[in-house]
Amino acid sequence: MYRWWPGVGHNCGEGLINRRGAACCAPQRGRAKGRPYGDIMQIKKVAVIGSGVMGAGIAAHLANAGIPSVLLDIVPKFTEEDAKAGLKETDARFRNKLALKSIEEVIGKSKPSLIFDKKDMKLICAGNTQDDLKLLGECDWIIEVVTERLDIKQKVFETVEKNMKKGAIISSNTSGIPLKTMAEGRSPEFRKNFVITHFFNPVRYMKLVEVVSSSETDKEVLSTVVDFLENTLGKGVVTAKDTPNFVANRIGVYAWMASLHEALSRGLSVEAVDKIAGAALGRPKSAAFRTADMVGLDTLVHVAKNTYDLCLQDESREAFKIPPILNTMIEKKLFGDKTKQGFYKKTKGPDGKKEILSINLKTGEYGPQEKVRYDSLGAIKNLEDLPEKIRTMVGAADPAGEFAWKQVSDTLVYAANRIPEIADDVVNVDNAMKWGFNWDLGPFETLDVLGVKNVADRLQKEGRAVPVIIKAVLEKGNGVFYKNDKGKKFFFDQRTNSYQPVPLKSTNIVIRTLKEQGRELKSNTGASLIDIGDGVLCVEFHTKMNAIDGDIGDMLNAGIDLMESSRDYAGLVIANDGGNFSAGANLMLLWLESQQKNWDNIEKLVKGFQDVCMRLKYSSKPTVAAPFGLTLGGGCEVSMGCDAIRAHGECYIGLVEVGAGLIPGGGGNKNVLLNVEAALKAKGAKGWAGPSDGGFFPKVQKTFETVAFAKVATSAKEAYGHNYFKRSDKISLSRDKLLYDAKQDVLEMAKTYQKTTPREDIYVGGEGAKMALLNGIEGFRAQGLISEHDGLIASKLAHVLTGGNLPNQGFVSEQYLLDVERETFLQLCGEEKSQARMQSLLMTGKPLRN
Amino acid sequence: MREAVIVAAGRSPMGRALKGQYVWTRIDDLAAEVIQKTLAQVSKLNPAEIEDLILGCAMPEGEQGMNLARNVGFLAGVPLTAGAVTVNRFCSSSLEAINIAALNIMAGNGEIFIAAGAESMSHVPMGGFNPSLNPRLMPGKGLPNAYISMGVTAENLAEKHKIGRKDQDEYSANSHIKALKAMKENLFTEIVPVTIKKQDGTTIVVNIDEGPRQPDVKKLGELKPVFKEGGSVTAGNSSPLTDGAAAVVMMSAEKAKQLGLKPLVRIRSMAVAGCGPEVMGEGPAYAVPKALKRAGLTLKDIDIFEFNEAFAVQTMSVAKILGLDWNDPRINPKGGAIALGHPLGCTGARIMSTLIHDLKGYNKNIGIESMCIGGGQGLATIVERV
Repeated sequence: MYRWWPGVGHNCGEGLINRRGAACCAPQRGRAKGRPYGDIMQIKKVAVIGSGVMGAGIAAHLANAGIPSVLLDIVPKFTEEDAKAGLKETDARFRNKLALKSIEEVIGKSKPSLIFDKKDMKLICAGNTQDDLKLLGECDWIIEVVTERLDIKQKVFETVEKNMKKGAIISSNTSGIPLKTMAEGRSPEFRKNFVITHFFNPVRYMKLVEVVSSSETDKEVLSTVVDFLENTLGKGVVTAKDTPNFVANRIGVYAWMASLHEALSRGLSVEAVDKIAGAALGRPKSAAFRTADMVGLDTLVHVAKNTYDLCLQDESREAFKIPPILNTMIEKKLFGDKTKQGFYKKTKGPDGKKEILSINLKTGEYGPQEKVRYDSLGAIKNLEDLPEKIRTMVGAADPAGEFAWKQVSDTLVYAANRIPEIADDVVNVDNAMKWGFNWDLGPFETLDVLGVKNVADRLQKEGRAVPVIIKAVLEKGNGVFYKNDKGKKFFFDQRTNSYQPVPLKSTNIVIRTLKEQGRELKSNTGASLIDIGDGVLCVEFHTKMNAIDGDIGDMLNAGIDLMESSRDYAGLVIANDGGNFSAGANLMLLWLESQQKNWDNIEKLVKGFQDVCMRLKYSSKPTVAAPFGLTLGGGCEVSMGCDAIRAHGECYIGLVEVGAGLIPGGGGNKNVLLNVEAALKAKGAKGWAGPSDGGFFPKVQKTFETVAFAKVATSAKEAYGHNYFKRSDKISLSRDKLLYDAKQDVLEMAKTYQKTTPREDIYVGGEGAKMALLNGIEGFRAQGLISEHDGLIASKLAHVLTGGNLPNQGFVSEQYLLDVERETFLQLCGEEKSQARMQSLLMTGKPLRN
Repeated sequence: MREAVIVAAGRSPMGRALKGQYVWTRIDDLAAEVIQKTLAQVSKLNPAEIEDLILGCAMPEGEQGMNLARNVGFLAGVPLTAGAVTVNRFCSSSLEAINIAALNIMAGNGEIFIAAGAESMSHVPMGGFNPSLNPRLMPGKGLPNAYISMGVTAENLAEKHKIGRKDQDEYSANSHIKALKAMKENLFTEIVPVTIKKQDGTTIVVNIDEGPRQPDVKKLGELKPVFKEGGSVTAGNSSPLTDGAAAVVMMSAEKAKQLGLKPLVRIRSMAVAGCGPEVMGEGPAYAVPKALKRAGLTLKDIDIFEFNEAFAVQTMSVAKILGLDWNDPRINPKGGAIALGHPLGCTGARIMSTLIHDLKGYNKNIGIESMCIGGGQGLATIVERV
């Protein structure tokens, strides 16, 4: 049989986790530099006690940061099933069963994945709390994530104290048990090193960690933990007080309960509430009830009860009382996603189509969802500005508007009344809600948006009490909770009745702030050039979705011009503050030009893009891209064009042009090819018997598979495997610190940077290799895996990767490959079916398989 | 003309490619050990008299490149005075090696030959590492479709000879059942145990074919076609990717007599035939009649047919064209490549060693081996027990 792809790779390596089941000590790797701040305490290895969803999530995220961990759980009861599975009661495989299962299932099968790269699961070592306590002695940080029962937690800490090494940090992931009571009976030494670190689920994706300390906590311990959480794990720390449910859950669950009570009293449906209290108010689309299903009703009710029982002084305590419908749902185990039914239930209709039913809050029966239609919702449909949306919603006079106002005002008042009870300042409360509940705006930011005075007036008019802090900001402040002054952000501090700067680390470079400080050197409709200090320039995109167009190209060129011509600049970073680095090239422009057959314009556009990507690489000074979030198509090509990449851990990078009926046109094909070549060479030379990269075909084949299947990395770590990153490219888990890290990379590279010239020696396969690829494409087509047009696009890609019309294998230059790429790109723009694909993406957002 | 005889035949157990027993073992080491152990069966032989080592390999590059035969000869301790040549007739490479040895013996060009075959499908991909195809031989250029996927040729046969999915699956299940039965009855006497490496570098000795397993007809029927949308050829009714090595020791009848060796079989006749690459699996149907004619035999005279099973439908088509019932008990009595596997260049010698031990084990006289070949050929060799 003739095949050009050699089937699956060898599959006989070690398992992902230690199959022996014995507790092992995963070798430490990565992070060779250690922490950059020279703290005395260093967290190099962590123990996580409790392997439930949270424990597994924490261990997985530690692995994401390259930190080895020991995941411990109890030894379960030996059952007949275990015996049937051939296990013995003394087997480590049995004794570590809970932790092993957690690694395999909770982490290994998580969707979306808790771990960047499954290969890193081997950094997590499974063990049990009877046999492996000595491992605690190797850990610098021990996190308790066991069940929420004080007696159990106290027992765990007693054991920990006996086995830990001196000076190790201990923390609890409790969501509500007071720090003081957990530390009862422990030594002063223990209490000095003890804090609460409350992570949110799913740990990889939720930025918030609430940190609670006590007067006994050692300052250095606290700063070490906060620094580790922020810089190594990329989390956002909120300093909370030792009060029940801390900050985010206290306010978040209040907001949820308020929605429920209002829905009940106003007779609103579950789906109506979710439409009103979701995106329309700057909250997640899942709003109240869908969120409840995801979190789990049992968990929410637990938190609500906890608040009701413990917060006797809470003026809104009644809101935490569980209404009968909720108790009924709990009795029927309608917990949400984990029991497959909650406020919503997925079913199949009589026609076999998937249908999502919702619960009737009066009867408790499931039924089809109503079509939610309100004038106010219609009015905000086309509004893009979030403050405008929120103002319109709460100001509307229809039932949706009335509900919105009541829900929002109740929540704002509740949050305002919680200061200083649960947190010292408004910043911590706002951050908690944004990072822990994915609200676009925190309560105090929302108050500013609505106008603090407007809210106070309306409350008064309705005969409701105005919170002290709101009165203070109106009487003693400037009527806003936040204000900007020369690029600096200040918040109203009720302790001093004055405005204090919002703490901003020197490592958190915010482009918007720099612009406000007048550091913008140049700007057009697509991009800006900013001086980010220390002789580093930054090109910032600001088109819609940061789509790449001619303006961005102009700004990149301007940036390179300035960098090369001025002695003041050491190099350039490409970064931005948006939600995504770049969703790709400006497809609308391409489609229009294609429709009008303006081939010269497209040629100019593509040539300009190719040229600037080449300039990024071969200029006289270093360039670094700092991608994060969606980094697709042209965004990926710009990143690969730079000398180096410093990516955020959550970087979803890929060349997805095939979906738009095209192939990459900005040198993406060539750059993946060169990355694959380098990766193959790094794997080890093959000796005299062959070229060190295995010849012209393997690299072409790998590149072909990546681009033709439009592979998108689901994390920055995966991007190495897809060869969008070079081995030398780097990752930061902290989004806040990403630009700082990229800037440091530029400065570091600048010390020894040497200008290089484009490659002239790329060995490609020519016609013969192209035919081998075409043979494979034909095989896919025969199997019905790809359409006729997929086949055409793939054959065009094969043409580019093998060197165009090169009659046989040989050496070509980068520019040669770019010219072939450009010509082929233009041909595809002229294909009707490719234009239809572009149109589909533009009009429906969905790829067309024609 | 002199008579060529086979005096010893052995093969390694078959190993599943990419995940089986040989993934950490070099194919040249494996082939060398099989040759050593096969030679050891005829201790009266003086190695200094070996004329040539002829070794078949279908994808001779990487670990099996650079005249694999010579290197295997060195590793096996074949005297430096002997020659070594690697031959390639794709799937029939090592049957070709046997035929070349036979021809040389018949012509008086040497007394003792080793004919062998080896293929690591784990380590060298089909098509090689750096394929380069001639555009003129691509479809639609007026020349034969040289690079057509083997799976598609099988689909072509299914269509042409109207052999349905159910029959193919049934045939495949039978191949496994026959192989399992033969294993149980210890009929695979041609296997020589070999030493393999594990990932950690330690070694163990293996002697079991990894391919045969209890067939689940229902599951076989549920597999998806892998070469053509709506087709009938699946992973279950094709031969699996496999690693292995096999060897026979050949000499003139006179030499055997002189050494006091009892030959196992003598070569009666050989034939090759070509056909279109798109129906390459029919090849044996054209080679077998030629070989029969040259031996003065008819199909009825053949006691055992060892037909390679590249695909179930391929062997079934050959039987159909020849006018045989594919369930004829004379065909592949110990199962075929569907169960055992098909390490391309090795299979010709693998089947010959199996056929020789079949004739002995079932106490029969005349056997024929025939194989199809990518590109459109068939090769056949008739042997008779001495």
